[in-house]
Amino acid sequence: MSPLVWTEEQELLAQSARDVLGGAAPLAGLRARRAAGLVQDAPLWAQLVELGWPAIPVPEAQGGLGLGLPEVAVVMEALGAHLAATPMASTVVAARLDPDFGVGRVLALAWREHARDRDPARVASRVEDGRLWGTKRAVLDASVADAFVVSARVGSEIGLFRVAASDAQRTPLARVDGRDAADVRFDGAPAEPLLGGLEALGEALDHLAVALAAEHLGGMQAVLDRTLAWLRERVQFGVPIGSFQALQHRAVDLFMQVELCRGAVLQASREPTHAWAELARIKCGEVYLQVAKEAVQLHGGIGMADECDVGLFLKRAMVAAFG
Amino acid sequence: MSEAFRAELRAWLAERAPASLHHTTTTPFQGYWGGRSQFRTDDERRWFDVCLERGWTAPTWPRAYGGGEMTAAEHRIWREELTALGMPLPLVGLGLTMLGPILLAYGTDAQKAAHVPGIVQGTCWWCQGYSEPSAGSDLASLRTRAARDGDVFVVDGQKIWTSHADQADWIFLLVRTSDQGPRQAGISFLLCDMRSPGISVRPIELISGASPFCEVFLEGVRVPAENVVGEVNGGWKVAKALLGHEREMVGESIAAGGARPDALRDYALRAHAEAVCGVDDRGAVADPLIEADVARFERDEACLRLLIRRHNDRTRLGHHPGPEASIAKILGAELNQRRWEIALRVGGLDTLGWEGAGFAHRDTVIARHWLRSRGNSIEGGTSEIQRDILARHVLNLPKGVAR
Repeated sequence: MSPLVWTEEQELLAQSARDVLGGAAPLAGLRARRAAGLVQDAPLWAQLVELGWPAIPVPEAQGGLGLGLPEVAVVMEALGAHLAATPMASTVVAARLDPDFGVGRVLALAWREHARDRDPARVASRVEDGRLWGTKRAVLDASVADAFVVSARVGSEIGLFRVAASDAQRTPLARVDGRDAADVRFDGAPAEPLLGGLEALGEALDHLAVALAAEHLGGMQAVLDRTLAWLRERVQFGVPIGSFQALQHRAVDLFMQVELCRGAVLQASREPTHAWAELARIKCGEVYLQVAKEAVQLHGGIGMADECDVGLFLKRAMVAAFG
Repeated sequence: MSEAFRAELRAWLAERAPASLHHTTTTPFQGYWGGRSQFRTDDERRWFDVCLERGWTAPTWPRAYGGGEMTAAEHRIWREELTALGMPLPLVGLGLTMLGPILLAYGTDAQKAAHVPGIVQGTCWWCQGYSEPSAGSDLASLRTRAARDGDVFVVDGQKIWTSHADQADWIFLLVRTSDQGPRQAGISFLLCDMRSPGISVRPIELISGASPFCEVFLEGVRVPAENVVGEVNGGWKVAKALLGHEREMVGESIAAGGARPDALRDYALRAHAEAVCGVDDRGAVADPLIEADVARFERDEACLRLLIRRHNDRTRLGHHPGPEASIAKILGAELNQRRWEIALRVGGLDTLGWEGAGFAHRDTVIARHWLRSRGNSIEGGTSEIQRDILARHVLNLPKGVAR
């Protein structure tokens, strides 16, 4: 069992991620993208490619850094704290399912066909004679994908296929959090079979879930930090509202839940079994939403205003919890 | 290095750990209490003896006092290997977990020589005299008075919630030695023989039945002045250091489910729910509401275990200990309360029995566990006090008006 503590290298990576994003990814940028209808932060992604972060999970033989999910999680946590919109999470998809795909190119995972059911075996999409038919829901990073990994039936088996983005029909989804997702239709698209079936898909989903759980951990910590700062500075009845025990205890409850999530993400990134990945996914989804809802309440009226940043986290948390 | 120790330890355990004690404990918090307590079996005595010989009743303490001088890494391996075998600790009690570390840090050479070997050898059973009827969460308001009379202090007052006071040999007391200055600056930490004239003890019955808790009455009890640990009027610092040890121990112990009686030795909530409610075709508990509760409980239990593991890993690697002990205390209490709450819902009418005909023994044990678990968020520092501490010292929220 590897220790649930960052190594010195991971500490340095986290520090450098915080430094980079502190300058390059202000929340004002998110508001500007929202106004312009942009679902990805292209300049930031270019900078991350320059820094080599997309190479983190890619094996060295394929030109990657040969690091692992723990390092992806470190970076995702920093990205989540800034609500940064990049396809970093999707880098684990290619690393798992198509390592030769190419560092810096985006391979998006198109697997889900139902609004509520997350069972990867519930697949109606099918492949016949090398062509793929079907529709996938809310595909992450679809707008910048160079290609998709698509789960589909071949006879009674479920296989994985690579389809070029140019052969798919994307319907961009304007969701509450403004992040990159699209329904993607494949209408007899040329499909390249990949190694592995349902099991490989499950493993890739677990890795993706851990990467996103780490992002959500960063988000919940950031919105908690903003809330704690507010409790210290907001004065009512002549004193900071953070001196009220009723509010202090609510803040502590949130803090404790975030600490639980931290342990879950550390463990799941080090040992990404289905059970650990599900623990991290479910727990982080629940707690992110809990923290963000409480952040709005503890901010009072201003928390409902669009100009207040906590609402941006709440909307991301909705996707984390219900997506 | 540490793996060599593990291999050596395993070989030693294979030879020395009596098979009859294997799988008798789910957590390494149960075992022989020393002093006037009894070994339950000859094997329990043998296990104690072989450990004592190696200094492993107090694995990390100095050899000079009979300890084993294990490193932190070795100690962790020791605990892991015992847990894997389901072996009890050779010796448990407040002397080992609370007083000993304090004596080693703050005691005089004479105090260490007088008291540490007795703890290591299990000849002295210690109890803790902290709380008083009017000093619970506000411990610093304690009123048990120790008045100087030449070479002795004369102690008058009352302690409450003292575990095992009716069986213990010695008690460590917080007493008031001054009314000058802040309340905390007039408190001393005093070691007292329970056989001293003037001490009487009354056991407390809880809503869950008999308990180890007692009231301790002190009337004109004469204690040698050399039994003050630390400075006279400097006991608060000692007491606080000790509370840190207690919080961690209580948190870990509660998180692990607390000490469970024999009827529930292998109690697992999911297995119990499956046995009572049945299992559906997906392998889940057949009652979906119970299944949801059990699954949520299991997730939170797993997360708490990870938090405690992270705490241990951080400590082992030399990082500053974080606030995990307080978190484990609060969440461990809530988790244990949820455990028995779900168990009660699973059993329904069958788990409402107190005793006697019409109820399975196992089910009445669950009812009493539910009742007892209400105290988890009160004992060892209430959850509210723990939250105050986290709010002030970890989250840096401003001090409230009334506090």
